[in-house]
Amino acid sequence: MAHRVVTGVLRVLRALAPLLAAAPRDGAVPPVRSRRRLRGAFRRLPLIGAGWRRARRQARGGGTGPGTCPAPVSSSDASGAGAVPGDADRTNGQAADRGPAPRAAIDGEPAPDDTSASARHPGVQKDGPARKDGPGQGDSSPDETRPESVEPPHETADSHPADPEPLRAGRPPRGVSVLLPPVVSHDRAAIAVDGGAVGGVTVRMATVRGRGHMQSGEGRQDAFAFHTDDELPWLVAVVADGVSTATHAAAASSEAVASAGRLVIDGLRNGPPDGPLWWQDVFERTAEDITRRTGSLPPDEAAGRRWRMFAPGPPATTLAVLIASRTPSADPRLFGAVVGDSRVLRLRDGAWSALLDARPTGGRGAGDERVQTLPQRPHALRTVATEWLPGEVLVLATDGFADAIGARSPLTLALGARWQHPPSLLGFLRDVDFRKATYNDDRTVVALWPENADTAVP
Amino acid sequence: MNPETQDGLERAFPFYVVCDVSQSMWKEGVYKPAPTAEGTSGRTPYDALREAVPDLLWKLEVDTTTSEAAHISIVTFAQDAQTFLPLTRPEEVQDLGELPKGAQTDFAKVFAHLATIIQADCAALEREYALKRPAVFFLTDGDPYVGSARQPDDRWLPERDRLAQLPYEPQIVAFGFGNIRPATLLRMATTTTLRDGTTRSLAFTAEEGTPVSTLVEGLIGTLFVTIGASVSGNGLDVRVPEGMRWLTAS
Repeated sequence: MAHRVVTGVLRVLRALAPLLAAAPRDGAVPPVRSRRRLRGAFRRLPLIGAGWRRARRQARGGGTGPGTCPAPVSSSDASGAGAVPGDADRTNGQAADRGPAPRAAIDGEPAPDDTSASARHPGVQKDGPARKDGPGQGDSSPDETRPESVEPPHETADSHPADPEPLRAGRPPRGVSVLLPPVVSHDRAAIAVDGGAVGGVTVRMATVRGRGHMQSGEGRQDAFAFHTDDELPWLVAVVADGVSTATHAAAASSEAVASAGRLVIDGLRNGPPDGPLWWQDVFERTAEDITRRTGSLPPDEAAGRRWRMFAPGPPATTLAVLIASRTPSADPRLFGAVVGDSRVLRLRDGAWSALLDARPTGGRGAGDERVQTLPQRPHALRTVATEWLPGEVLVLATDGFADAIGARSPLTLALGARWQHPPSLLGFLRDVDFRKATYNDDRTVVALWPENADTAVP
Repeated sequence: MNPETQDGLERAFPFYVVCDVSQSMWKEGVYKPAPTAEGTSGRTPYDALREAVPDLLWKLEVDTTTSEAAHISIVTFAQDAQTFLPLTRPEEVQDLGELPKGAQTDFAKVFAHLATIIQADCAALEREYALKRPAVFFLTDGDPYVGSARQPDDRWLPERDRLAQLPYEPQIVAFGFGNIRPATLLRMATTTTLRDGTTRSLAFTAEEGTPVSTLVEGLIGTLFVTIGASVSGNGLDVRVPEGMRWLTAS
């Protein structure tokens, strides 16, 4: 105990040293250089620093981002999925059952301190006057710069002992204050997850509100749908990603998955897709439904507040559809179509590849402006007709998830091992809700395993 | 470029804030009212920059999702150009020195300097990150002037073109106030394609009536919104600063 007290006093004194050195002696406003040093000193002060920074944010009208709502309704430094309680044993036990590979991949991640500026960035001189000296000072740890991390009374989803560890897929993101949207309903909640068996296929689907929308108080704009029909030997999986710079993004993606799923089932009554024209009809009619649905809605005031260089565009969403047999061992036929940057991936023996990727190549793009969307571009369609190979996992995903699957991504290795067999629903949700700095978009995944693994769920 | 090559990497958005620190920006009697019997009042545009630039970095630092992906550099120029803050994440900036003061306005040197540092910065970033297009926010109060004459276009435009034609496709956003001519701003800026398919120069000029120091302070404040919006929107999205208007090529 005494050791803790002494350590605490020393930390405070160490933090105060530059503050005292920089403090103005005559009450005048300190010069810029000193103000920066003062801020650094405050940041090193536990408790005081967090309160001061929070006060600064509030004084600046929220300060959590452009166009944010002023008052946080709830606060957490974890996204919602991480807050699902009570499944730690089950999730961890399942990971253990599958063997040590996923944990090893995750545990092998570099510690936050390894990502110091001077180690990772161009133009950074370790001993330059304009920046910190490096990790040795102890200031570069994300934990030490997060206000939440120095507020003991505030228990976050990450810190609750009953919660499972988040899946870390790289440098962990900094904590965000989570703001609720003005209206929350069950169908637009931050998280939706489901799963089960259809014939010889196990299905897992999850959608998660991204950290960017949590911070800005906007709702989830991704959506998924899964359709079957007792009279048809097919299953239909659909995902959509409403474009955040457009109006009514959430309504557009919701309508897209609902309409496309229904239209594809209707089309399958006359047989499976026989070429791009089959799909074109589905996407054109889906586009009409999106226009009709969003056209009946009142003006999107939230989108209006985002008006900057571009006025908020008309409703727009990506759309990806996958049709597979309920019994892939007997009928391996597989059909897919996509508009935009949502994708169909395949996972086989731990290796990922793209089954359907319609992103433009060449050039560096201009973000959302380059993405093809519905209802504007139903003809910017890419289709595939192929076979579902034995042992292959099919993954239909929006870019919030699919962008994180790459050659040098820890998530690629971790899920490549973990998804050899279907995880539990909550385990799947945790996987989709991985943590990786700069990956703040909504995420939606529908994954299909060619086996029925849900026969004895406890 | 194949987008698959960047899948799985952290995103990095490089932003360069280019500040004119030539004599007109800091010399009293140009924008700042001359001292009166009641004492001096007001600020020079340089004073406004001196206060606003650290505040911009501070705001970016505390904006969680922006600070993760934004990398920012401050470049100053007058008769020479220099990197005041090398490209770094906002949260890693610990101390800033005083902005330098210069005399003349050499566009050729600053565009050449930008081309050199952006090429080097982006080549290094690209090895480790999913690199987004760099954005250059160019703040200036006057046409280029070197020696005893206006710097001719054919002296600085080739350097500007060399910057714009880097493989990283930097976008140049020109903010002009004071005495700069709209035609100069339009030549400096790159263009963007609007949703209706038309292209427009990223050039903005001050409207009459707003003191330049106030304008500069507001402009830097607007860059915070612009950078945050660009990071979250995955592409450049500029908010038109208060007291300025978006130029249209005639």
